[in-house]
Amino acid sequence: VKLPSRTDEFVLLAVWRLQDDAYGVKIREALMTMTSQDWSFGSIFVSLERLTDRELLASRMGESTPVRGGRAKRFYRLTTEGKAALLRVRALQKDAWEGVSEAALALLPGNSG
Amino acid sequence: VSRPKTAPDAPPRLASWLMVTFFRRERDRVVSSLEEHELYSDSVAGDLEEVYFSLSETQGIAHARRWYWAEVIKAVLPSFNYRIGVMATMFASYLKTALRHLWRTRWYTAINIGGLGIALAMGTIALLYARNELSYDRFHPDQEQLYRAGMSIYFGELDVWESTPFPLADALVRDVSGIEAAARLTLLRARGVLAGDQRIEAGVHMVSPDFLSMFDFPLRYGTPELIDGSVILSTEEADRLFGETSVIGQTLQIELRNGEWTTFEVGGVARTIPLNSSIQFDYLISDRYYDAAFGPGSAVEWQPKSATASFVKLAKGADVEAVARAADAVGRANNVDQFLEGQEVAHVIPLQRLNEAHFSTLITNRILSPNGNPLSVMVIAAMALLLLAIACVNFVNLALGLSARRTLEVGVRKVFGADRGQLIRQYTLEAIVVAFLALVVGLGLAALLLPTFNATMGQHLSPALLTDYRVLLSLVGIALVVGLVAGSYPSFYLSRFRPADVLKSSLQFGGRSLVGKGMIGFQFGVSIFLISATVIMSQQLSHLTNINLGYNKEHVILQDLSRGLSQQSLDLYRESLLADPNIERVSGARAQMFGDGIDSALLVELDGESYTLPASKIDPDFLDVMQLRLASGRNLSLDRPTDADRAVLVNEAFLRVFDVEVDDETPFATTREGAPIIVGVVSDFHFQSLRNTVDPMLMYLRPESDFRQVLVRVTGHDLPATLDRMEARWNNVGNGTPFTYRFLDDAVSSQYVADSQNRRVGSIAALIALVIAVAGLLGMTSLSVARRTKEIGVRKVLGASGARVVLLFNAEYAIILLVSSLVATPAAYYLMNLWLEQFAYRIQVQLAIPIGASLLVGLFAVATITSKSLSAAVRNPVDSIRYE
Repeated sequence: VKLPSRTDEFVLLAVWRLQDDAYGVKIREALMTMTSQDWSFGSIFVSLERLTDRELLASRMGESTPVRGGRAKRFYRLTTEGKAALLRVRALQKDAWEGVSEAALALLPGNSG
Repeated sequence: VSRPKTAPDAPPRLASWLMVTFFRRERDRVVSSLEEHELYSDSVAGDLEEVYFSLSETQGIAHARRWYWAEVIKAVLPSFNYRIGVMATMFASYLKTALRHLWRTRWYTAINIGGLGIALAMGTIALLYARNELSYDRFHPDQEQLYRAGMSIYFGELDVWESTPFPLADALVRDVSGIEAAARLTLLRARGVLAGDQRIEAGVHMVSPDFLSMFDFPLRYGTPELIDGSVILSTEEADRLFGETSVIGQTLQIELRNGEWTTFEVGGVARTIPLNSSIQFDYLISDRYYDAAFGPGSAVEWQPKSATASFVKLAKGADVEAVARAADAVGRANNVDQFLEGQEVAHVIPLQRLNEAHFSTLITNRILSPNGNPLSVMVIAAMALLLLAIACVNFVNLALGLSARRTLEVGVRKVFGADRGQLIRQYTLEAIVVAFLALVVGLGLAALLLPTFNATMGQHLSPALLTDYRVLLSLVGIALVVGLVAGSYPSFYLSRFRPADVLKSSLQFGGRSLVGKGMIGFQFGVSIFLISATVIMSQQLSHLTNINLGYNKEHVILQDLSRGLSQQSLDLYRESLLADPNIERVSGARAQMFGDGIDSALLVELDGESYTLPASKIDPDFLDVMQLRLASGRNLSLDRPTDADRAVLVNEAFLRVFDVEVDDETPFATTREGAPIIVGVVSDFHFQSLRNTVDPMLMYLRPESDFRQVLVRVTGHDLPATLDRMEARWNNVGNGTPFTYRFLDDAVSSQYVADSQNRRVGSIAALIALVIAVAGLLGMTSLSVARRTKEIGVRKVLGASGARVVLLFNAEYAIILLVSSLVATPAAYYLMNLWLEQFAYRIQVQLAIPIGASLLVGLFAVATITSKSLSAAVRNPVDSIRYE
């Protein structure tokens, strides 16, 4: 099965961390905290749609809230496949990074230098 | 979902709408029902809004709005890219299919592209021509405020003159409150110019100080200011005189008055003046030289005698009516209304917008460039439209004819899921592709034909105009419209087929439809009309040349003189010329008589009424040169002292209008100069164009005044050598006036230039219409023959002869031809009678002409149909029935 992209991976992680509070605004906040970068809603929505389409995420509509002009929230949660994908990514990363220590990386002579 | 009303601090509405409407890249795959769609859009908008509100609280509403817009754009742009990509792919596929189909039916495509191409070439030229004609004087930045002041005058009839009193412009800007600036333009015709060792004769324009600031004539070199002793040259004239354009500081001499030369230094060189400017000049000098040119004291006279045009610039938003009334008051205060001979007019000083001067029917331009002919613009535009219509009809007809071959294609496309809109797009695109290919052909043809057009119409349109982006854009627009118009009916017709019918082959398809027949009828009708119109125009014009003019226009050479020639000089010149055996007679006249009619007049008081009548000073030999006949009485004679200032000759029309006697003794009227007597009557001759009948006119001697024209009757033998000898002799007596000449017969036919231009355009259009229509018919017939192969076979098996089959095809079109002839004949009859009404001497429209034209078109149709159907008719039925 295809690996999720980096963006998708972060989104999946954000949804998992947020548990029952995983909707657009919170997911964006979580991503910004995780990566210390600005995230646009456009890219997040595209990723959420893609993951929903591939059935790594499922969604349901919540109650409408007055804060957002009476509009309802859409809450996301990981499906079984979603969890499996995250686990697979984590395992792969572990394998890939095996034996590479921070110190060793810092000592490596760079090409540009 | 309930939603509160939009709060004032709500996010930008346009941005929300963009987001909800266009952010849907993969939504179609995520949500399936419409309700879910809405819910989803809502949640997306809600997320954005939540952050927006918190941002507007912490960072202010402006920051929040900026953020919101940025978010929406970032979200929506990629989805736009995606949609454009999809559209491009679709378009490429349509285009490929279209090109494939056009290539498969390449002969019909060629007929279409050829026909449309010729029509579009005509359309392109018409567009360039109309654009130039309709854009006259619109390049001045303040063109809406610029007006020309004319002057009402009674001169036999009420007229408005372009020529105004010299002091008028200054008086207008001083005394009329709505006028913020005024300028004068005075034309000195045919002045001697000396530069180095070159001596030429040219028109010189004198202008008032405000001229260069009121009008937009930018300079290439120098400052736009005319000080005494400086001249501004046009680029072309600078190049002609000095061989270069940077000529500031060079000097030249201008002969402002007979023999009086003034030296000028070039102070500026103007950029090339646009073709569509009514004001054209080569030499521009200050009109402080007015008195030098016309004599001391001229500049203060309120007389319209010197060719001075006056222009005013109205203040922004000025009331034109009020300004015109005030201008009238200025005119009346200075007695300008004395030239009206007591006639009532709306305005003594009429104001006319400068950008309307080109098509003015009020004022005949003599100082400004000659008036345009709105009829020519309309004729050419109408021809172009008719040809485009004919070519479109070909496209529609051939597309319908070909539809028989495409029903299967349509059926299969529909079975595979194409909806009707998709098919319509496909077939419309085909038409647009044809139109654009035709546009390429048309542009090439237009570039090739432009010089011919310029020569025919006396225009100076440059082929470089074809690459002007505005022209190209309008042409692309026209091609697009032509493609859409021509493609719409066939595409709706084709896309209507139902797959089940098509695939079962139970469909009866068109070609015999009323629409198709109607359109072929239209083509026949237009062809018949154009042919008839052209023939009638030719007949009328040759009728005009065959009318007895009352004089002999052949072998007469006219010399127009820019300055006067005395009786003594004429006698000297005549004596030296008559030594030449190829020169028969020599005479002179004061007025130009055979262009637009006599341009001088005499005020005559007769029976208590006063009349301004066309009149001219002549030399007694005038009758011999022109070969006029004396109806009664005798010719004028220089040998009789009383003839010098009393005797006049009149024409027969004069006697018809006025009840006077030919009497050598008794004066018949009074003039400012005295009491004239009629000594002779000449038979009527057409000194005006044949649009008019002959008006009363007078001729007199008055030997002390000057001649303005020399008329020489030659034998016509050895003309070039005769002209050379004339020139040599002229230089002895001509007092420095260069030898210029024209032929009387050319001058006469120049009265009908516009008519013969229209006839030529008409005949070309008629030919093109016929060619396009015949090509279309060719295509239609071969399609119809192909479609009916089996039917022909069956008919032959049942005993029909080949001739009978050919007749069958012809009969189908005979009725159409008859109907279109019945429509085109009265149309041609009516419209051409309207055109003929402007001529006092006109032919009767004969019904034989449209009937003949119908027969001619019919002949072409029969030849076309027969040639195409013959091959099918003689084929062995065994082959034709088996062809499936």
